[in-house]
Amino acid sequence: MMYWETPRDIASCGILGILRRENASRIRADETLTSIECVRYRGSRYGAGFAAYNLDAGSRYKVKAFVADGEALQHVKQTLKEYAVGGFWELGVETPQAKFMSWAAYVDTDEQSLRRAVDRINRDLFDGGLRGRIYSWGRFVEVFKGVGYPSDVCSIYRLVERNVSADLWIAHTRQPTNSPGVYPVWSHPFASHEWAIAHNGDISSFGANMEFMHYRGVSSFVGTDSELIACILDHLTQHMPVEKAAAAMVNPFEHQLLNGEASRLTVEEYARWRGALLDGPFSVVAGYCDGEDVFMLAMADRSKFRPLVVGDDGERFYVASEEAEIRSLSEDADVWPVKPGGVFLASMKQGIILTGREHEKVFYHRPRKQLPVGDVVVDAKGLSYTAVNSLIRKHFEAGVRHISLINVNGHRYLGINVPSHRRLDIHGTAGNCLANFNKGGEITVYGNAQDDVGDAMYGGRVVIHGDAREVVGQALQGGEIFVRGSVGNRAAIQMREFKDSRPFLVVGGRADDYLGEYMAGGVVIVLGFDALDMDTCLVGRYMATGMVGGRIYVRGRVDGWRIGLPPPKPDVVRYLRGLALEGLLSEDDVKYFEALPAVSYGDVVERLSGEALRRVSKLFTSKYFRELRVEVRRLDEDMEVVGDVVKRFFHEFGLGEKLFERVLREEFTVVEPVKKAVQKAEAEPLPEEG
Amino acid sequence: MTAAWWTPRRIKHLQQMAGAAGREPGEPPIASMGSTGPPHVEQPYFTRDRLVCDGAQVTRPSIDPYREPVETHIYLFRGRVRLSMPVVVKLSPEAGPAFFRAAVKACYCMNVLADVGKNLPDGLEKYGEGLLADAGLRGRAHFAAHVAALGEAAEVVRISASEQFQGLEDVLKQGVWGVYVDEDLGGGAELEVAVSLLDRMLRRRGLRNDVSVIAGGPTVRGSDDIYKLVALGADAVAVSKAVEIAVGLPGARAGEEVFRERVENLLLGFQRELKLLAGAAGVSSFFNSLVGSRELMRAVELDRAVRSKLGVKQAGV
Repeated sequence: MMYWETPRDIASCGILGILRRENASRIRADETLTSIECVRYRGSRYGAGFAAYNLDAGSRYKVKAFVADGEALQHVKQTLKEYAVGGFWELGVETPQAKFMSWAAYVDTDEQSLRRAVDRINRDLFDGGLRGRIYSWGRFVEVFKGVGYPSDVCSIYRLVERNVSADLWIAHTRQPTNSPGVYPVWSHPFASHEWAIAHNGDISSFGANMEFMHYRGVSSFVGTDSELIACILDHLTQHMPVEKAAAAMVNPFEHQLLNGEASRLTVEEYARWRGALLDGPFSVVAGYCDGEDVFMLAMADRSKFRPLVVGDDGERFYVASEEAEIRSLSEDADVWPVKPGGVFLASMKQGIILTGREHEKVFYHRPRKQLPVGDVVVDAKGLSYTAVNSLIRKHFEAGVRHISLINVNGHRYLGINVPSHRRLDIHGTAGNCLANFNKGGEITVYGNAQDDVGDAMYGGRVVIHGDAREVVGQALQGGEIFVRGSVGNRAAIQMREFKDSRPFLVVGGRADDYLGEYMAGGVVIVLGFDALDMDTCLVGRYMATGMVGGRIYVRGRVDGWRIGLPPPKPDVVRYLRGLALEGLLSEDDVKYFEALPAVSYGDVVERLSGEALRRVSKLFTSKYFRELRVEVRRLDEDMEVVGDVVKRFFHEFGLGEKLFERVLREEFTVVEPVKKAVQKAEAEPLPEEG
Repeated sequence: MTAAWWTPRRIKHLQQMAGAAGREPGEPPIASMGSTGPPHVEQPYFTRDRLVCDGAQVTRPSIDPYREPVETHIYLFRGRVRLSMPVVVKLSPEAGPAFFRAAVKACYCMNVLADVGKNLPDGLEKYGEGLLADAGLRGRAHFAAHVAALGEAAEVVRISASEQFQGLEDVLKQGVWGVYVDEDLGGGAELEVAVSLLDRMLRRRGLRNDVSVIAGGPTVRGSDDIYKLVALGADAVAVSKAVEIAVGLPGARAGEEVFRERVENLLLGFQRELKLLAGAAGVSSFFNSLVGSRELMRAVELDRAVRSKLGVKQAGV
């Protein structure tokens, strides 16, 4: 079989976690391998690995070390002898790795002695020139990692041949960025005691995190942020429950902390554990076993700079970088994205503990299966995305007008080669970068679409019967994208329009943060059909930040603080209190603002005037500030702009007349930038000084 | 007479932000593409001028602080005091009563602490929660005390900029809430070296998150110095001379209102510059991710001994 080595232009790793419910059967190694190999192109030959958790694995520690030579191994054994209270039983050298062999032993000792031994060995071997490293030392978890693709690592350890199965698997395929991938010590998962994690990202708090762990029993680091994440999880959960540790590690925004939205993390705790929080891009899947139950944790960074979806099919729970990994094992699982800064937690015995987002039930829309009706049917099963795309191109070149592509599962770049007024139907889960640069093609997805749909699309139509994930319609400049379900983070960013080209993005469900960031043109409509009778806001935070053109309609009322980027409430309240001390405001005014959940510019403009307003405005405005007009009105006033497109949306998805009328009666929050009047020349400008 | 490190460029920059010059108060002035800073463009004056900040990269992208949150807040004293940014303004009565009063008000509004030392003019008691003061003003502010004058309940200990911390160790055992490295007390060490060694000492003792570190004085020139000192371990940086220069002192004959406006503008400008600096490094949280995060800097032409005191790696290796 021929493998495609993708060009290394996609800096991304693939992560995976599969946890069984207590009454379901164990997960086999070959199932895990199938799933992670499905995103082989996310990784490279520079590292992959697995972690297997079994609750009934026993009470002895299994210690596994990479060692460069006999001398390093001797040092490991000598140190273990020194620290391990009850001695150890060698299991021998498991397998040779690039310049390293993997040695394993059962160790009979207490936790604290083992912690000290592991730190001592790792420090000595690292300072001696990376001569080896203990990489797995739990009772319930065992890590298998090495250099190569997941399939290579799987065969090195003969996981399939040995019929290895587990309650929980963590898997990873690696695209190295900051540390090389030539030795197995840099491969994921990274483990610390009973924790093992796989990570996609590059955290900017690395230095602060190292300083935090350095004086807390960990004195040697191989230099990857991912290893630190395992250490921090292990450390924090010795002091607090997993939920709280995770809520802290995702680095809650201050307003979440102050509003008690971060698992009751207090400001005092936030200060005490400062340096343990993660900043910058990350998607993490982690496993943990406390001897009573097995847990699977997933965390997304608060800007959601990396993809993360979770799934549940009644038998198993899934965590993945791409939905395709889940679909390769479970066609019917419910799949939803973890929200920015979200935490998902499930256990074998308790099921889902944290869902990773609010409204997960209304977030995913499950499309009905459709029979292929194209003039030509192409089966994508077993084919790489390049093979599929060349087949499609050939058919279109031969004059076929309508192609049905079946058994699609994560195939990337589909719909980039559909000629104008030709049609491509996709059955299954469309992979990343669907319909990028689409010029005039009509693309329909009977299923969900992964990240980056319609990037820089300038004509044609994309119709998605399920959900679309992150960054839908980036730089969309023509044509229309209809999503029956919901969209993820950063939808419609940098969307723009030209004289004869106004793009539309219509969403039947909800949207996460940064909807319409830097938006410069076009129209976005968020309808929220599945939440018609719920009193919930359909969008996340930071909507329309940097918006300079176009218009956004969101059904229902959008809280003022979700729009734009307001300054922190404590700063605003403090400024107002200062104004009160100067006699420019009443104590009642201050109390009024203190009682608001957040303070938007609209709030201060509405309540204050004169000198007080002038002064506090500086916190909200700047040279780059662009005022937004936010109005709440019924859609029927805007039929000229949105009438046709909403009707097409209803027609496309077979939504009834009754629903249409209901939507017309609903209130919408309409956001658009205030049109700037032409600037008159100011009075005599001051001379430049200096 | 101002010291050599107050270059015309720096003075103009501060005055533009404060609104004492130029037309865009509160905005970081844009001087050029690339760097105007030390050590290779401007002459280096301090060790910290040989530290450069590590930028973001494609896998850890920069943040545009005008569109996305970069949190500059800092919690001092185990979460009891919140600052909008890692800044304390150290005031001296010599700068005149109008400026002194204006700065106290501006600091309060902008949610940073004003260090008033032994002085608290009448009518400013109500700004107590925004003040840092010496022990004599106990009860009216968050007070700092000299080591010699230490009482049992001292919250913040004021020390000189030194490489040794004798005396401090005993004080720490009594459970102080903060250490204030005050350049005006002398000490013989450069601020950055003292801060870094103090941060490490507190970490070794497991006290880092219990004891806040404030450091600064007349050599702090602007947000670049603030950023670097925070990355070396300061929770907040005291700025004194820079504020006076920015508002046009000595020489400016402005009233209290004008001074207050200028100090507010300057602080707003500092905050925006700090956000830009952190954003360029892909850092969205000062309190968690920047304090003591030496990994975000590299040293240029500094010898090994100094690098080791700072805990900063050499650039380019």
